[in-house]
Amino acid sequence: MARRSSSNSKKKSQFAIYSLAFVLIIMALSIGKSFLNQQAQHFTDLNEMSLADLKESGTSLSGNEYRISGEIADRMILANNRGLLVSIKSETAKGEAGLIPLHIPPGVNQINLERGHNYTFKVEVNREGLPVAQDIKAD
Amino acid sequence: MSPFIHLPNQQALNHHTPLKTMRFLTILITLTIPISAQVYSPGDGDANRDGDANRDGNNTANGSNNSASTTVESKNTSASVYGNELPFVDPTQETITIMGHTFGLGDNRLGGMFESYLADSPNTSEDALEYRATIDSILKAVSPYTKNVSVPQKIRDGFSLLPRAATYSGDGRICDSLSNAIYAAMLSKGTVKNSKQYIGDLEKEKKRIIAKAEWMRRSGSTALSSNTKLRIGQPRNQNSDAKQAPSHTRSYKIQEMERRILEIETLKKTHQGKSELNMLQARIEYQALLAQLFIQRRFEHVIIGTRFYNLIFQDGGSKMHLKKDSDVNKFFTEGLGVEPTVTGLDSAANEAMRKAKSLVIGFQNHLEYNELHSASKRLTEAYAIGEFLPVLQIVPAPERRIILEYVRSGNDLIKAMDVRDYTQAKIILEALKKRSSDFDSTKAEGAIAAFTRASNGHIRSAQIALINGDQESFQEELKKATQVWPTNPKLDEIDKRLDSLLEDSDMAKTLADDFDRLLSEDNFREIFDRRFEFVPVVKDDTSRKDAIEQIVRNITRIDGTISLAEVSSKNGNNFAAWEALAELRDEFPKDPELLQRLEKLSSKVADFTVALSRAKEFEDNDLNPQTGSALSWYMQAKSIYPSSEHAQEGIDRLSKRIMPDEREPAEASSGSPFDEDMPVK
Repeated sequence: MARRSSSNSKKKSQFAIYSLAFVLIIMALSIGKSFLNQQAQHFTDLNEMSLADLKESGTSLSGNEYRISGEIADRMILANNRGLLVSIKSETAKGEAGLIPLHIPPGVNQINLERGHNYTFKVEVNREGLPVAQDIKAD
Repeated sequence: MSPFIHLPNQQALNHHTPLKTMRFLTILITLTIPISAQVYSPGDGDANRDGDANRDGNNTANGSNNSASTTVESKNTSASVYGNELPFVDPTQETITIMGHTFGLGDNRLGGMFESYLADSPNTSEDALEYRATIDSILKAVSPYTKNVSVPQKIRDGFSLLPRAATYSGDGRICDSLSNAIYAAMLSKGTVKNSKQYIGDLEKEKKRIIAKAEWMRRSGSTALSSNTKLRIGQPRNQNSDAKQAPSHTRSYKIQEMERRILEIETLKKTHQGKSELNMLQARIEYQALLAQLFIQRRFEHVIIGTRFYNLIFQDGGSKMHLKKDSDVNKFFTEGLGVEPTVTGLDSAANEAMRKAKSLVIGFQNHLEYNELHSASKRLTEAYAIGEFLPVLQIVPAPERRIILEYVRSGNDLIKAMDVRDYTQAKIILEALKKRSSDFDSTKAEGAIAAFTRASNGHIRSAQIALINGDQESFQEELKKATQVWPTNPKLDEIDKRLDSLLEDSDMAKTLADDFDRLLSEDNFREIFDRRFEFVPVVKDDTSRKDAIEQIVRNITRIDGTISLAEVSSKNGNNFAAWEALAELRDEFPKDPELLQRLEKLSSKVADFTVALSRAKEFEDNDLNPQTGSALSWYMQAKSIYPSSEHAQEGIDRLSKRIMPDEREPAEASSGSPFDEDMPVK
């Protein structure tokens, strides 16, 4: 009978050890992911551009800098070396989804921009309410 | 004197050649026509009624009916197939030709009388039959061939029947007139007889006185001296010695006897003169009646009268006492070339009756072979000779009816030609040709063809003038065409065309007004729907013509686009349909059809149209350019319908507004800002 009781307590301690280890692992993974996420987010010092504001009155955002992240849905080269005009399929943290026009002037584009790829842009809204890219980071 | 005393004369007359008799007969009829005012119908001055058509050398005789001497106006010198000796009736000319003289029949003279005769029933009543039997009895009673009857008895027998014949209405009391003439002649004859008896008595008295005087001279009566013996009974010049005797040598008795003898002689001469005068007067009156009956074509009465004449006046004096140079005298003398006689009248009357009978037989023969034209000629001739003769009076009604209808058709043809209704004339002509196997239509057909061709030629010239806008020539040619053939059906066509032109003129003005009104209302759809009305009207107006051409072109384009949109919509691509129509909306913002279709489609593509609408709104805001907002909406529209041309064009337009350097737009746009941008795939 004593043997049976010693065996049960052993099993209980092992279960506790395993559970603790599992929790620690989960915690380690969460912390790691959070760290990694923090490491992937660019221009975090900038606010995400509001799609709704842009659609309702782009000029109300003129002069401000924002961060735009999203997939390039379309792009076109502007004549006379005026850069690119791209449309970014974006989904903000607020849940706003839509296409954002973005002008990438010459010289800003130092990386390949391809449709279907995700990028984060540092933008400044010009006087006609059009976001103009200042910097680009590939996601 | 025997009543047969005139027979030799009659036989002598009958020895004239048949041609002479015929000539006499026809001249007789010629004279009869105007006097009776039944057969000859002077024309009513319509010689020019048909111009050239009737001037063929056989002209209708026209003229006055004032006297018999002026009835003949023209003489046909051409020989007819029948010869000029026979009367010839031509219904197409409405004339009768006798002995080369042509007379117009007219409508109201022979034409009307003849038609009346044709429409009448044959005179076969009991009264008529009795009348004819009475006439025959009279003729027989006074006939020179009736034997074993004394002359007075013949006169009495014939005279007694005259009143019975006069009771028949068809006799026209002519037998009464004849009775009166006979009675007057008999009275004259009786007076003469009494006068002769008186003269005889005077002669007896004279002889008695002479005998007494002679006795006294021979007996030496104391009343007479010896040297005063009167040679009684000798002419007075032979008694000159007695006259020269001293008066005292004669006795008073002898002187008284001489005076009485002279008185008796004077009385005798006076009565002889009166007797001869009465007899001559009676003859003249009787002959006048006979002449009158003859020219009335009462030939049976003429024969009766001549036979009575021969019985009454048995002295052989049948010479007719007609006024010299009178028409009646000329008629007889020119016809026969001899002095007219009562016997001649008798002969001519008999010939007329025979001729009429012959013509009626000819008429019936022609009728048997359906030769209506010749039949009508024969009957007309017979009627012209003697309408009162029994042979004409008993022509059966069905035969008359056939001729009546034929003659009426002939008259209708004449009237149709007269009023230049050649359409109707041709119809009647064809009917006449079918009805009669011997109808000669060549002359009428020639006239119809000539006039219809002439009229049609003028109409053609008028139409050419109308096309050329020569109004004066048009009116002139139309007038000529109407004159030649007033009822030409082609004239109606001209009228209709002119009416149409007038109506078109009014309608054109109305249509032009409508067009201007619709144009001012921008109701292009209505103009398009009525384009087939407007185009002919405005074809000469450059501005209107350009307008309607543009409207038709645009509406055609809109309708074509609508059709394409319907196809797209049926295939489930409402965006393409909407875009196709929306492209035209800016160009034709008032087209109701386009707007209606767009409205219907808008509900199906609301998100797309809202995106485009907002984009356009921002794009067009020049005061506060919203390129960013506009681009975002265009891009959203393109995401809904990736093939959207509207969205792409909007993006393209806005992309040209993007400057290379926002801070130095002028420098950045060193090149043309409107150069084409290139999409990068």
